Amino acid sequence: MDTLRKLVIDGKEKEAASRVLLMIEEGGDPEVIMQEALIPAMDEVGMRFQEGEFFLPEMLIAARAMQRSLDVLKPGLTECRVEPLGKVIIGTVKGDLHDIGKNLVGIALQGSGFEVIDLGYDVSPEKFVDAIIKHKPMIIGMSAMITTTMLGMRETIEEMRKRGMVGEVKVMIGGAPVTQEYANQIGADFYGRDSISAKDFARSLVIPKK
Amino acid sequence: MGRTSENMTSRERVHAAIQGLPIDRVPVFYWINAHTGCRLMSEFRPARKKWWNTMAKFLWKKYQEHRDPGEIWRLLPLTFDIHTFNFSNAYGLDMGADMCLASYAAPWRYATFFLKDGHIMIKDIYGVKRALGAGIYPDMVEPAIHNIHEAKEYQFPDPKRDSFYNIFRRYRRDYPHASIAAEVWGPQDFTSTSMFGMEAYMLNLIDYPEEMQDFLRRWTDYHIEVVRRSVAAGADMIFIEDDYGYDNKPLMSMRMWKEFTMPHLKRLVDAGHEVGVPVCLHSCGFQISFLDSYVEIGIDLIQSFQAKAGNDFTKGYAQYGDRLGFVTGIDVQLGEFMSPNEFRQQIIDNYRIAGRKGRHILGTNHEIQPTMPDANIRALFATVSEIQQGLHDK
Repeated sequence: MDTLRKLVIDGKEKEAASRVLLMIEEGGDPEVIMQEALIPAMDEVGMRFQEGEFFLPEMLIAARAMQRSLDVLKPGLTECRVEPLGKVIIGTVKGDLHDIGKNLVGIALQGSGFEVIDLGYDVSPEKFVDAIIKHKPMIIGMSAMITTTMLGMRETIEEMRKRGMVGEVKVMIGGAPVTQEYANQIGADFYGRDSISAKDFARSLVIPKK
Repeated sequence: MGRTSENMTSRERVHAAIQGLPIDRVPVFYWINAHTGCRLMSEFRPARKKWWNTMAKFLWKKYQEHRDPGEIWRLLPLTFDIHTFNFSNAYGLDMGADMCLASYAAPWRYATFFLKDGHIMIKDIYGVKRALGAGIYPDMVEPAIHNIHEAKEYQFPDPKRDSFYNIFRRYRRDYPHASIAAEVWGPQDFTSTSMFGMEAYMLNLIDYPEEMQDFLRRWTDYHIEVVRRSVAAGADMIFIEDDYGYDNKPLMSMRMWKEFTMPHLKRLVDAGHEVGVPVCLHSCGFQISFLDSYVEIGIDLIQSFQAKAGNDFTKGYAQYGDRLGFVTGIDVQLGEFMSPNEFRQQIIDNYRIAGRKGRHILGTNHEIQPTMPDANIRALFATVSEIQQGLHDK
């Protein structure tokens, strides 16, 4: 487990995927591999990012190693009927074409055991609401990069309110112009200043604090 | 603008401030984007050129009536600004600024327009495909380079095309005493966000370091040629556009930045100095970690230094103001959400950090956005005007 954790943290994608394959071939339990190696590895990456030891490139290579490892692990997880921690819908709001921040949130959530439905960018309030009806997530996450597009967050929450979804589905928002004040104003449940805080919020909903 | 009621021209004032020499008042810089330019000309104060006002009024009215992302009216202010008349930058001079930006390759920068899936798409001169969302910037939707093999083969536009530099000749003719800064792309931001896409760029730096260094060398060679020709055509400053940070931290580690960005940035700075002009660097985001390196490679000015990103102008100026100039102090990002009085006080407080001591150009820390409330717009220009008149000197 320690070796796999280190390979993911160091972003060694091929070696990490090979290691997972070897562990499965040797009878390793996919859920244990996930819980004791992959999730702690991404937690460590998140911690190093927040402490200023890791930056965007290190996050991306670790996420890529995690993704490769998950690809190998997924059939085993499905076979063992291991359920994800929860479903999260993410997207960049209508008219906004930026997606790296949103992608990082997706990576952090997946690496933490959530199923992520990524609606991409330029997502209208109606599309968010349709996706909520279809996928029944616990959280939707909205991202915006500019002041003119962040208004789409308010519109989406209003659309959710009309459909009686507010309270049923938690709303988290983030992006360069977004602030805690704005989150309070529009009635979002959480403002995430980065992908790690978004992941921590999602986990706080399903894993009680020790 | 012409000679002021004080005793320096705008250009003299800017250059004296950069060198830390005595100035008659603090120089001013307004960064105004196309949509805001249209709004201000039609609702706030007319531009010097009457036909710009007519055009701006028409475009702003249409923009307000047609705000959906697919509407061509959203795009037209950009089309008439960046691609043809470059009016918003020059309009800043009409509003009392001493320095403005000008973009080479106007009006050919966005070379091709086409429709795809109901979206207006643009292909720029670098081959980057862009679309206009609900925002007002043409964002990248498909990078120019899809893999490292394409990076090796990539062909740059011709920097020797003389008409690319007409904008500087026109600005110099129309504003002979202003400081005109030529925008060029630095080695990191445009390459990452547009040429490769951010994720691919960062991964390529790790997976293919030699190939990426080679590409960045060619990128810089190209822009050095742009620097030389822009200055020959009338620019008196180089304004390197790059982004190295986000809120409270750099985008990449300082080790990686020094390996992949700093050497190429230094070559651009040297190129500006070789043709006798100062060099200003624009970078959004956290800047504190970079300041020693900026001094080391001879950057004259940095622009933005946003408080929201974790930069403290008081500390930055106290520690580096004898070696590095700052174009900042009008915090339009926070100011947009302040009351007019708070915004006014923020500008005055920031002005007083450097006052008339030099190495400070009182400037917007980013483009003024068209969403800024009317009262805040009025507070901004009224306060700066008071500062220019010396009403806030202690």
